[in-house]
Amino acid sequence: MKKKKSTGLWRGLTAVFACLLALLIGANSIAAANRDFINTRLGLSNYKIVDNSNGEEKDSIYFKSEFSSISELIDAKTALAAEISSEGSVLLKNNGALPLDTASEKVTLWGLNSVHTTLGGMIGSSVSVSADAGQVQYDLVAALREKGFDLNEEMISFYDTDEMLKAYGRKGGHALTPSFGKVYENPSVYNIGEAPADVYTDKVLSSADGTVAVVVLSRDSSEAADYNPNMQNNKANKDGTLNLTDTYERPLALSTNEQAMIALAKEHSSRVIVLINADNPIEIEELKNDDGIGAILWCGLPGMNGFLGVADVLSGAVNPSGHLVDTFAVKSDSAPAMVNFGVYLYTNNSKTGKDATLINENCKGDWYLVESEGIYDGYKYYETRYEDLVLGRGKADSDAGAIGGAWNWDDEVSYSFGYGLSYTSFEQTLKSVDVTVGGEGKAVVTVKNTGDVAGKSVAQLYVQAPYTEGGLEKSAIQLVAFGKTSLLAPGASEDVTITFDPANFASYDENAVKANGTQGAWSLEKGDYYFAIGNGAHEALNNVLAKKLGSDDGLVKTADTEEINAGNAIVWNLSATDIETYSKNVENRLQDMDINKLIPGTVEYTTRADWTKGWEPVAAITPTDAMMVGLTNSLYTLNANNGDNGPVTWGASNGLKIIDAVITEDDGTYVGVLNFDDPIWDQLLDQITLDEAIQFIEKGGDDFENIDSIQLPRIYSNDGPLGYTGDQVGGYFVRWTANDSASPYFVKETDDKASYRMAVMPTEPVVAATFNKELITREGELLGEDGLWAKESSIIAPGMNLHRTVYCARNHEYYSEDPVLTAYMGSAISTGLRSKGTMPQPKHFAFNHQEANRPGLSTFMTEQAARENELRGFQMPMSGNICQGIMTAFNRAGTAYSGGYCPLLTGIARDEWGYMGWFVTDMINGADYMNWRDITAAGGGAALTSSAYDSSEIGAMAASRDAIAKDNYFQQEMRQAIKYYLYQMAQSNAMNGISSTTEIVFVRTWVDNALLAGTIAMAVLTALCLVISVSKEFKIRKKED
Amino acid sequence: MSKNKLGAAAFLSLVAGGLSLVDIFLYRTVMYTYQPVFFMLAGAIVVAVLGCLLARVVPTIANYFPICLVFLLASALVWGAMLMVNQIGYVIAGLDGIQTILTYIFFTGFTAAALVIALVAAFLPTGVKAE
Repeated sequence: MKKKKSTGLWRGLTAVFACLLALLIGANSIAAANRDFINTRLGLSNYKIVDNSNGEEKDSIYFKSEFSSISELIDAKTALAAEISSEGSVLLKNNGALPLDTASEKVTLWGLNSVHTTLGGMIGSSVSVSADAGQVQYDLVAALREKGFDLNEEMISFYDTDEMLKAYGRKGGHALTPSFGKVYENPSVYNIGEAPADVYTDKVLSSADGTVAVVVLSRDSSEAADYNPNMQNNKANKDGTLNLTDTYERPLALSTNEQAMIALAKEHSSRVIVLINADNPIEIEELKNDDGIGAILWCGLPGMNGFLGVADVLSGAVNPSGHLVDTFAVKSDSAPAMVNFGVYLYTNNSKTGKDATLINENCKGDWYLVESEGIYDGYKYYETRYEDLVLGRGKADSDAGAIGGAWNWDDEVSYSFGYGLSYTSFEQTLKSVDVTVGGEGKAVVTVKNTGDVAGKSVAQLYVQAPYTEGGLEKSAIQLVAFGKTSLLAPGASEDVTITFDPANFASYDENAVKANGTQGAWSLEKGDYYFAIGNGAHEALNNVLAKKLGSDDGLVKTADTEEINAGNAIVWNLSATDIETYSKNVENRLQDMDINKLIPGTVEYTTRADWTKGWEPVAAITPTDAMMVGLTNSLYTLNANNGDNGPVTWGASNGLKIIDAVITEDDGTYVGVLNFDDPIWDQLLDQITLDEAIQFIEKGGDDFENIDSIQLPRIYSNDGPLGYTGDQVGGYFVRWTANDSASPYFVKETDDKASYRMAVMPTEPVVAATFNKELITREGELLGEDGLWAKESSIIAPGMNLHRTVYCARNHEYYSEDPVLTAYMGSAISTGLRSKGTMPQPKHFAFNHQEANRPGLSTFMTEQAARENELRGFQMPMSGNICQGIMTAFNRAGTAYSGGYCPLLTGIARDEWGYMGWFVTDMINGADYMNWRDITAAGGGAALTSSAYDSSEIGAMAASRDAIAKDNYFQQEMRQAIKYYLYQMAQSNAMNGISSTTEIVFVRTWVDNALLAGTIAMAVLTALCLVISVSKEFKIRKKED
Repeated sequence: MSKNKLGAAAFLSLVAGGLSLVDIFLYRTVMYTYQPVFFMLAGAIVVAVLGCLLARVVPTIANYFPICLVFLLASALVWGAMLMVNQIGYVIAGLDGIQTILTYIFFTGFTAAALVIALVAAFLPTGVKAE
């Protein structure tokens, strides 16, 4: 008995150690697959730069900081964020209620959301703070206190309780529910977060008597979520049913609690100012028309520090000069773009039982979105229909799409795109417009401050291109360019020179046949072009109409302050239609994004020829066999017969390093990189092994894999639009390791402010509302400085999709409903970023207009709409090669995944625009439709994934190595994709610290060593125990025998 | 030969094997599955059954089967996490719902339970030789 026990013990111990051995073997593999994640969290690195120059090294810091510490940088960013918010705040109405006299006036903040303001969006644009390190987050209350406002603390205390938050509020200012999952029904719940009137006590109400009311109306924003017109309040009663005491017609309309709260504010305060804390335009027509509302100020979602700037506007320390980036419609869902917004399912979707054929989980092909509005997004709809109404064309006065009765602009729009007031008054005069087709356009606007307060003014230049009824669709007015004055003292004036590219007002004609016989062209049709300035699109159009009609009779103004001046419209005539100048390499490429080209008659598009059309949703689509190829299969198959340019060279020994492509002065000063066509690039590419190439493409994204054969270090790249987001890079120290201590920008974890979060800037709509390119270039510079000090070489920003509808909850990451404003802003921030060596990487290319079901959503539109709206926004930074990378979108373009859509990536971006940056996918989330084969074959780049392909039907790229090695075309595409990366990375701060005398060497981390040692120890112990156990067993047997 | 008896470990191994069978069905419903895990679990079932069968014939050898069982179950446990790491991260970060990893949690729980039972079994005899 005793002997048996003894054997059992050793057997048991063997099992214990075998168990640990098995766990450690698995842990080794998991750790290897997630090595960078672990290293980042533990401040480790597997690479080290070794200098072999024996002390004679050159200056290898090619991109230098203008700051001597992160403290200086943080201070500069805080100040800039406040400045952007102050310039981006838009004064919509002011009956003298603003500015406040902070010396003598007490302010009561009204609304539960005044103490739960929303600063950013959820996920990529979230705002987090390193409070333990002393970082301060300025919500409205904190900012007003900081700026010395006398606040009604009793009201703040009344709101700021856990009970109020729990009963009515939005925690952290958020109520949207982001979901990465699949959605089969429109989101139905949303809590605006306002308290009902009956909870206000007499005591708290009396505390507001005689004070100035600042009423806060707030809506939040989120990635992976959308608003929907049918939403209802989702605060639950105790029995689980919805508490519908706070009701609303639409989530972007005022709720009953908000209306009641405003009524209380009016009753108890000397005057009422409404502050709109939302990036999605909310319905404020009743406030606009309410004489009891003294002022309306839009501040959007201003980020961590932006309320400091908003406070300056409220106090008058800064004169507001922002202008709206979106139309504020009377009814938020009245635009034709809303007709097909939401969840629409193919008839054969995976939930239809026996009829389901879209059944591959990873293909995510169940949904579609038809953008039936054509080119008429945002103000282009409201203003174009307005002109047609004035001119009596296209049944514009019909009740189709109207809020009620015959359509008229005044019923439909509260404030148009580009609108914004000041505490002073300006007189703007359009002095001249010169246009050279194929060259540069130039307009001069004289701006005079005619008021008694200093301020800045935005000169907005619009154009109306000639339109023929029933001809090519055209917006009646479109933004061409803009400029902003310096701070003008009262009585001072300034000539603002606005340069522009006439290509920005060319129309895309899908039917035009060019001299070379190809179809599809950018067209400048012959006729009169009306250039006009104005305080927004509506005023500019009114100026055009006054010029055309010779009178302003019958024209509708936004407000009494608006002036209609025919003199501010200048006519430029083009004598012959030009379809060639802007059409080099251009041809129809996106025809399969038009559902009517795939299934004729599916949708009736909005047309100004007949405004009664385009109001019926496309309720059902049954995909054709051709569409099913895109929806269910990968489009490219690896094949030994693909490619006719001969075998591809891998693993050559040319002795080159990536740094050899960098050109410097003798003292090491950075000059640039070798020309893209220089043969050195090919020699570098020859050195890369196929395995390295596979690894680089398959595991790209948040950080790009090192390529040891050419001494390319691992390169870090992270979200997001407000700056490096805290949940990805939790401070300046995160990417640095002890191996980097020689860098002048090295930040230790223990350093003061090392853990400060970097995402401190306002959201994109606020940024765009500044209409200030210089200011936003500066934003790019400071975010680029973050790159230097945080060892990040690329930032996944800015977002450049359009605000196609106001219901997309991702709009906070995108600039505007207008592509030209988007283009200028995206270019400005990109210019600033790359000046510091941080590679700008705008997103999401292209057509991400709806967050619900964004993974795999089939997005259909006309090619004209695609090119004139969304793509025009991306074109400027991409064709100018200002941005260095582009993140593709989750959605499909037509039925093909956008990141693997050759006509877009290669046809338009490369061949037409001459884009020389890289492409990278968004996070692989549905590994079969976002598959590496289609991405690479279409001219895409790396896939943002770590192991997602392992679980896909198509499998990991590395597992297909042999098939890849036989497909020459595919390998050539891989090489070309990597070439774009190398070309850009050599122009980035990733080269800092690397020179011809340095070498990047692999080093094992303590985690690597610990895991290996543990595995070996367990293997030894397992074997030892097993041997002891077996030998004991033998002894027992022997004794028994 | 037939006088050899089944030891406690044999019964425990069968329980662990039974749990492994449940695991196979559970693992099929996990969001991202790694094919070798199915083989590990199937191997665990085979080892458990084989151990019991051999216990009456060669109990000395059968006594070592729970060690194999432990190794296979521990491997299944850790490799089952291989493709779920990212998804777990999404859930922790609040990017996705807990329901997306619920079956994985059940799978992990059952596998861990089977592993503990197999570990106990390894200390005990699978077959007991007749006196």
